[in-house]
Amino acid sequence: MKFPGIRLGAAAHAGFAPTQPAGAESLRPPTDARGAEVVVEGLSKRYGERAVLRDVSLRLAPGEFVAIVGRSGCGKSTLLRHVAGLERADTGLLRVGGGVGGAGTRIMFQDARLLPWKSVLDNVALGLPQPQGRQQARRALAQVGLLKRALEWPAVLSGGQRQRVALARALVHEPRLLLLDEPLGALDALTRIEMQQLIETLWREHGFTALLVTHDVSEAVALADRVVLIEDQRIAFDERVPLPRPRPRADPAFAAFEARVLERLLKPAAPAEPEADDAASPAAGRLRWAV
Amino acid sequence: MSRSSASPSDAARHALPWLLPVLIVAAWEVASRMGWLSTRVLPEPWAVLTAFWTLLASGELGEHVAVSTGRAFAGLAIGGSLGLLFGLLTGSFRRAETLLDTTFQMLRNIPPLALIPLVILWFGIGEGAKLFLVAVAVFFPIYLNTFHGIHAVDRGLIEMARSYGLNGWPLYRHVILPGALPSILVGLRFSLGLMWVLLIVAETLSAQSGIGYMTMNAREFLQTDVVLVGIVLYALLGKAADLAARGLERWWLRWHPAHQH
Repeated sequence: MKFPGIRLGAAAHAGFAPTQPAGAESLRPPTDARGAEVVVEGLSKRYGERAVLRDVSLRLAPGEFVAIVGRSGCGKSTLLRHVAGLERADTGLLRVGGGVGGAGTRIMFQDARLLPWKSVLDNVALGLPQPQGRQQARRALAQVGLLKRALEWPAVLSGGQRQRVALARALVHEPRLLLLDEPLGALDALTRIEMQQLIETLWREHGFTALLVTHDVSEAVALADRVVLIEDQRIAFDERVPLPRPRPRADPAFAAFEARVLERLLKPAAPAEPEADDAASPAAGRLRWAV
Repeated sequence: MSRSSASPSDAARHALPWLLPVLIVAAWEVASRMGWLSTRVLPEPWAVLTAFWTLLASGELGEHVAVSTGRAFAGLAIGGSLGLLFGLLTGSFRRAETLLDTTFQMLRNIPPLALIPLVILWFGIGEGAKLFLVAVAVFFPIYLNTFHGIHAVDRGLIEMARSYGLNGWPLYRHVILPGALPSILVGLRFSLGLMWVLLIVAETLSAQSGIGYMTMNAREFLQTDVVLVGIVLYALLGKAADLAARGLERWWLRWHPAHQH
């Protein structure tokens, strides 16, 4: 699929003049503007009585890699699902625009979500026009190092291999925005580090914008240009990672930044505001630890 | 991925299921020879085999089997495709479910055999009655399992496929139908069993040909050996239908971990 609207979208956003973060700029040539720009403004969402997101605003520059961290149930996945268009916000604005590429947004889920009745190759080629789609799928599989397994069933692959197939399936569309919903959460530590390196390499190669949701702080620090912390349904912390790439984990600066984020994450939040759902429980501040 | 069948332990594993049937037949033969079993009650296996051979040689057997099988599969084709169609409809569209499912659930609880008097009034005792009974019996297992299969398709896969731009027929063809297929095939296997049961009853009621006709005719002349041939034939045909269904499963569900050795 070709979108003639891509350039239109870019033009429409021209007046918007996004401030390109200096850190992201230096990573790759400025001519590379394949990534989409993401703007979230004043996003709020409730499920019944429970607020999941409150007035969240976030901006991703084209080609930027942003990681969202937070405790389970803090609303980080909900935010990602909104950006993906899988959920509708109660209030707020979402814009994904600009960039050059095949498809708009592709998402990688925590479980690989491969179709078990299709071969690895056909899974990657899902939604592509045939027969040239298979050629593209082969190239994408080669990029994640699984071309040899192209004709096997997903059931025989390991968890890490399945996620690599899912990554190939997302990248074969040449998305302008890649959303990663804790895609490595279920993998063992070693495989996870390998996958992180693979994602980083492919991100630098393709130049898409990436939004990663994770509860692994070191993963966020290893991959992202910026780390955003969501707490109490709001953005509580948004900082640029001040480390050059590649980022060896043994680097003391890496450890120091990771410790800083972790500390902020573990710090009990300020006393709960008199919101309807918190006021009901005076011990809300302490109860949070039980989660 | 297929197993090799050369080793002796493999041969033993394949022979083992047949051990009990062979022993029973042997005991039966011995009991008949010793005169413990009257031929009027049960003819000896050897007599059944001879009757089988005579019927086969005269071409009579082939004709009856062909007629019965034709009836069975015609009924299956009618009832099964309707069950599949309505199952897909109610499984896929909420409206169709509200409109139709309650009715089907009520009808499902009527045993098809209870319809026989009505069926005879409607269709007489011709071919129509037999087809109708078989079709009604096979409809429900396929309908229910198709409906259930579509509902049981992993929502995560559907969400993924939608976010990858699949909608309408492609979504149906690549995700929903293959996801429901294991369940649909379970329905088919149930239906195959019911298909023979209903056919036997229908053919015993009245027929001018078919295995049921052959056995009823033989009963008139006290040919217990031919009656036995008929019964054994039903057992073999039922087993063959089940094997065919399992073959389909093995081919269509070859991606399934349960079918990978």
